[in-house]
Amino acid sequence: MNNHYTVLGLYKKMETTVNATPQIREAFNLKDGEIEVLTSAAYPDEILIEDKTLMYQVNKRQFLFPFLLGIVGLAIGILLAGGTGWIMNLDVGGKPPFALPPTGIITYEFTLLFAVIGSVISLLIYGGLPNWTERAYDPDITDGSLGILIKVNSNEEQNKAADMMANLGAYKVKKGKNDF
Amino acid sequence: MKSFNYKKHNDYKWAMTVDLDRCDGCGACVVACQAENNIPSLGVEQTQEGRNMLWLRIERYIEGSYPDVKVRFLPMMCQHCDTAPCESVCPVYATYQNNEGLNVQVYNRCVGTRFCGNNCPYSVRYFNWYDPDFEGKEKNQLNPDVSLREKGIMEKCTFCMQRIRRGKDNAADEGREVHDGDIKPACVQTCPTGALEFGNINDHHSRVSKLAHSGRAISLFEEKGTHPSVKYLKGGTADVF
Amino acid sequence: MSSNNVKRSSDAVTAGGHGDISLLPELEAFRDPKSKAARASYDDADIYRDEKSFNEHTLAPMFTTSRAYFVFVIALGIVIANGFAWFVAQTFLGMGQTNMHEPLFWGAYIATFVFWVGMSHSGTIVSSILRLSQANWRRPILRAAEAMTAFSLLVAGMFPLVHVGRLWRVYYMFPLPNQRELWPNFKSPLMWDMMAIGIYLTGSMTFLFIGLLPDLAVARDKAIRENNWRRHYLSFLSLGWRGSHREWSVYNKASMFLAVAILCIAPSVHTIVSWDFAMTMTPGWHTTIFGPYFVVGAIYSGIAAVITLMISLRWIFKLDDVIRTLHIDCLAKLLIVIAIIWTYFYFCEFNVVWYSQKPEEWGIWEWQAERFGSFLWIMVGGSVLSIFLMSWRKIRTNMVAMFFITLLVNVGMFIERYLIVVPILSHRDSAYMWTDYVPSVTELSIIVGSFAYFVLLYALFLKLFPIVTMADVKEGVIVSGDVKLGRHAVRMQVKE
Repeated sequence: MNNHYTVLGLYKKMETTVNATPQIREAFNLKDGEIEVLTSAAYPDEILIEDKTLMYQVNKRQFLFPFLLGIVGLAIGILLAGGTGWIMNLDVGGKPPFALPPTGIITYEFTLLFAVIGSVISLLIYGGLPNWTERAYDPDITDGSLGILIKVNSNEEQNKAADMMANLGAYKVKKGKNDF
Repeated sequence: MKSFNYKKHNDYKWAMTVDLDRCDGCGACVVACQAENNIPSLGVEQTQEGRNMLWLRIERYIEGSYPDVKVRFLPMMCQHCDTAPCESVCPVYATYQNNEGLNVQVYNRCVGTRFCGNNCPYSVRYFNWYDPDFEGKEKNQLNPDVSLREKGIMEKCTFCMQRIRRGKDNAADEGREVHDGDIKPACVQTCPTGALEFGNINDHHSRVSKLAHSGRAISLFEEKGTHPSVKYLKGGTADVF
Repeated sequence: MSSNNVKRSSDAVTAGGHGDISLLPELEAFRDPKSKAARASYDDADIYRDEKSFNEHTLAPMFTTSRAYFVFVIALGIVIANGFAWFVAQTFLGMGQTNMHEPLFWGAYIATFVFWVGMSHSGTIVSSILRLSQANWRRPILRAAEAMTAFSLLVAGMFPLVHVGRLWRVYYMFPLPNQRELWPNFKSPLMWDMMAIGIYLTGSMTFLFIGLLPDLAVARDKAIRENNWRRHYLSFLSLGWRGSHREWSVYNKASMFLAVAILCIAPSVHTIVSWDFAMTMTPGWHTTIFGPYFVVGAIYSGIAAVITLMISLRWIFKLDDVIRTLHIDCLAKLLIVIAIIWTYFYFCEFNVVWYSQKPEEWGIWEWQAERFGSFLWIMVGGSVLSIFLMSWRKIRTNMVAMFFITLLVNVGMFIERYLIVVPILSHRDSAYMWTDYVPSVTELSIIVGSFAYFVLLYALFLKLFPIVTMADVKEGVIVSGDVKLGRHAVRMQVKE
């Protein structure tokens, strides 16, 4: 599946888009991740497109990174605040080398720091970002158009899909190769 | 309450007593301290700013009103607290408690956040607002045993650390413990009335130990729970001047 | 933010017994500018004629620059250069350039530091609270508030560097592994402070950047179309954002998570800043109330600053239809609540000391009243007066009045920070060392420079990034609509 062909159809109205997606999907037997809707704003889930993988797997797995990195942060916090105090073992103001309250504070902060980093990492990984390559896209999308983007395997299918999109109300159809 | 390191037994714990009845406020100790520890004299302008860097200062308190006036003197230096508030707040361990009960200042480690100074109830920590400026002949009388401090770091009384070192070295050379009276910080050595005593408080026969355990001994700001190593022998019976 | 599906919310409406509601055509109504929803005045629909003109309108402050702007930026640059010159002089000559002296080791620098950290507190807190509580009026103003957080934190982070005695040794405070096995002392509140501020800065910058992503894409498309020089960094920073369903879904989850994380970090930061003071045994500082007192004070001054800033933005960039009277009104209501809490805390702090009359603590108040009496009155009076004035809707919706009220609040809060540092340190335990302090020219120049620095950062941000949270506004228009309940058309919002 190294070579694939893409079709991007641009729609002015949400209604037509909602109408078109299931038909296109059915016609070309597209799996989750082979059809995408490009929009300028977040639409409530499953209005435009049903993506079960996204809903039930990705969005749940997305919290894995913050969680795991949070644990890493926890460990780093304990090691830094508690561990280095233990290694240095200098008496300051009669405080014990492993003092619980300062360790707790540093641990709390580091846990959150790493969780924040984790959430960014998972955003990048699961969102497929960053991707600076030329991809199927049209600047009209940020001006309010909705785009249906699909991935097919052959040139004939591509042409067929382009016709179908136009028939379903797309005012502009773009064809591309290997740029899903 | 003893601080963490005092769970171990240590041979020495240095302490000082100040007999308030004997102090007549002559200021010899202040001058001695300044000469011994390479403390720069800052001049009129800086002194007016309130930056007089006296590791040991004599505080004057005036009681009553004319004609019935009494002046009380309180020599104030670093109290070398057992649970020193200045130590724990330093972010870089520039000050810590060594195992002889001294509150040590590591000049090279200090970054100058000045937090320690804010947490010292005795206000005995001093900051180098400028590089020390020793002019002309002053340079020739600097003490080689004491390092000069750069601008931007904190400093304070060390109980004449260099003299303690020398005393212990001499004792070690002779293969004995330090005797009482072997080590005398500059102020103690200079005090004409003998108001200051210095020694090892762990040695129960030392003069300082006896004085510190006498009924007259008090600690300054005892309610702060800092457990100072400097004890003041309270007076009040003898009127000075 | 559209985490829950529509089905559920429409079910909820149906359960109310109002019959079957099909939402999709209702949502579609928003593409039609003549629809009732688009004309409704209480939400963003009225700036939302169509998406293209909305983009043009909200990106205008970014893409059009007047000559006055350059003059302004140069003027700011001069003030900053002046402050920087004094800072360099101070670093080379020594901290003696300030007027600090024993035992007043902290002065105006630390007061300003606390002030800036405080300023940073409302931006992200307000933004996360409003996001999580799904307050609909929040949408256009989030970015302006979040940017304020990030920049005031940058300014605040500068002050410890200005303050330390040996700037060239400041890396001793970083936990860097080294051959001497020397580590920083994590038992010091300053270490907590440094960590907390560093982490808050990272967090709020991340929050700001993640929130920017979709809007960067909008600006990128415009810049590429117009062959504007901004296209280079915008294409890079927008990370190739296309607005696919997958991106939106993941993005919404991530920004929700970040909002929660920021909400956990922010109060801890100012609590820790307050512990720089409260952890000492200095009378006047050593009180348990300091943690919450500082947090509330921070939010108080922060919200006031947000309002000041919003009014300025609205006036300078003619964004009246984006930052509307409604927003100032809502923020002012929030400010009243926080002002009441703050005044209550202040009273608590005072009352306890006044009643017990413990000499070391009451002495500070007397000292303070004697030397800073008029300052005290401006601070307390300003806060009480602002509560009183803002109770009127007429005043809340009067931009000029609100501008000066919020300015007064922040003058009061600056005084408050100054009075926390200076009178307490000049009246320490040791009576022999009581002292007075007035900031020197060096200190004042650097502090004035810091204000200019903040304004400059903000001004540059305005020209480099979109200031209105466009994606959020668009989403708000999408998820709300007129729903027929019986005979009435009611404005409803799909649960995000």
